[in-house]
Amino acid sequence: MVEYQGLDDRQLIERTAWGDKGALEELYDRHSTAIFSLARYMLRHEAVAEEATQEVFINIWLRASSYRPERGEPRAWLMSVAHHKVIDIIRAQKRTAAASDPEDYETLAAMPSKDRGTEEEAHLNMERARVRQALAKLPEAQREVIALAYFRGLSQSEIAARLNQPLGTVKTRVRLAMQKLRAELEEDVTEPI
Amino acid sequence: MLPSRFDYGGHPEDLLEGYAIDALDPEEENQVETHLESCAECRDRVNEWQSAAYLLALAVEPQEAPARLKARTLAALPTRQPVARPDYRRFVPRLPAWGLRKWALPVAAAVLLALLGSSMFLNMRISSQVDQMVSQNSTVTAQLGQAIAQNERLATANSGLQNRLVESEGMGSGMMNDIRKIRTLSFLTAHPDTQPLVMRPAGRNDEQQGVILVGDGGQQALLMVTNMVESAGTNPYQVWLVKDGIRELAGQLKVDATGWGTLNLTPEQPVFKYDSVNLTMAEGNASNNPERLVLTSNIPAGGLVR
Repeated sequence: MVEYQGLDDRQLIERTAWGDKGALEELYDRHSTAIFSLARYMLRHEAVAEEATQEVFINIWLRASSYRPERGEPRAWLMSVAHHKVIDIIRAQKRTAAASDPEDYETLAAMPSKDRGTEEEAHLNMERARVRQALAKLPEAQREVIALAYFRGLSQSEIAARLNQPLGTVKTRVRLAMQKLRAELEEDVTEPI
Repeated sequence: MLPSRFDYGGHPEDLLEGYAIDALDPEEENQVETHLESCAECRDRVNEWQSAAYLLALAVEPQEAPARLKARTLAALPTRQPVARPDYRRFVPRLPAWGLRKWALPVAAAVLLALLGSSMFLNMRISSQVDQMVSQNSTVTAQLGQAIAQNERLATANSGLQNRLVESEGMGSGMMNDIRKIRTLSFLTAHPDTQPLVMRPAGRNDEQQGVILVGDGGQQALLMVTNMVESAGTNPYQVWLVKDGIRELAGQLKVDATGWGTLNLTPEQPVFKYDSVNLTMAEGNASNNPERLVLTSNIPAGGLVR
């Protein structure tokens, strides 16, 4: 009898690639909240977010063998699969007006995190606060392009058209924003608060 | 249409961050993915960006998924495609069905009746001939008995010689297999392009180890394992190559009493075309019992980056 709770995410993904449903179930228990939250936030619709979450885990089930441990931590891969699927859904919906309100991401950067009980949740709360702080430190123009791209699913060329800016300017803003976020978050990792 | 500057050996540097956050147009995305297939440097950079990008997802306020969604999701998982096996059915000839219902059955019945009548007549003639043959047969049987007795004496002597021959052939065949493996190992170890793939234990037994030496652009590979549980005679370990969730049996591996085993792999495609390699063993001693994943390794696309 396999004790899935004792296995790390990498081992669970490997077992999932091998067709072990128990391993996928454990991955679901660990990551469904983060994936559903992202889907719910980006899609703005409970039922569509549920559908998206289900499709994300089916993708994980089918694509687990393509995960490469040397290319990054498992959680980054799982969230990358989730984000990609949600973006696909948004683009398939042709970006309804409700899903492209540029005001919401501003509140995301400024919103205080709600406190939660367990030790693991406390750690997640800290991480969330850290990412929000890093977002808040970005210049407004850079924060805007990151939010439109990552949370609203617009491509760089669509952002350029929407903001009436040259495509090169948008690409530069995305690049600078990502560099700053990475530097900020890596710095925080090496120097804990 | 994008300027395809990286068709000439450059890197799509201004697209990698956008790719990491899924912010490219489909055409750009396809171009980047094509480039990534052959560029380890850009793959590394994308991985770094993706590692940073996923943290953005953590900024979202957590909201638990409805409890019903878990059961629904697990029930919706598609069945994995089984190991591809040859379709033997296509070798079975199909019986012609044309017109059978309309006229073939009555005609067959008439023919059968005619045959039955003629066979009764023939049977009476054959019976008398058989009586004559029986008496001749008793004479021949007596002569045959003597010949059989003599033959048995010769067979006993021959059997001893054959047993010795089989034993020596078995020893020779085992030695030839060992020599082939040693020759492959020597070649792969000495060749500068040989790449090692380390197989990690899939469970908690960290002592079990394996390594695959891959040479000749992935066409040739030798698996070596150590510290394994000895495989029972009829229940060896199985080696699987997995591509897009479909597994292909690459060979069966026997582990000796010292926990050591080797296997030459000759897959249908170069090893680096596959996603992962796995070593399994059936739980218990029956071959139809569930498999247990023992060792596993992801296979980097295009081989290891040096």
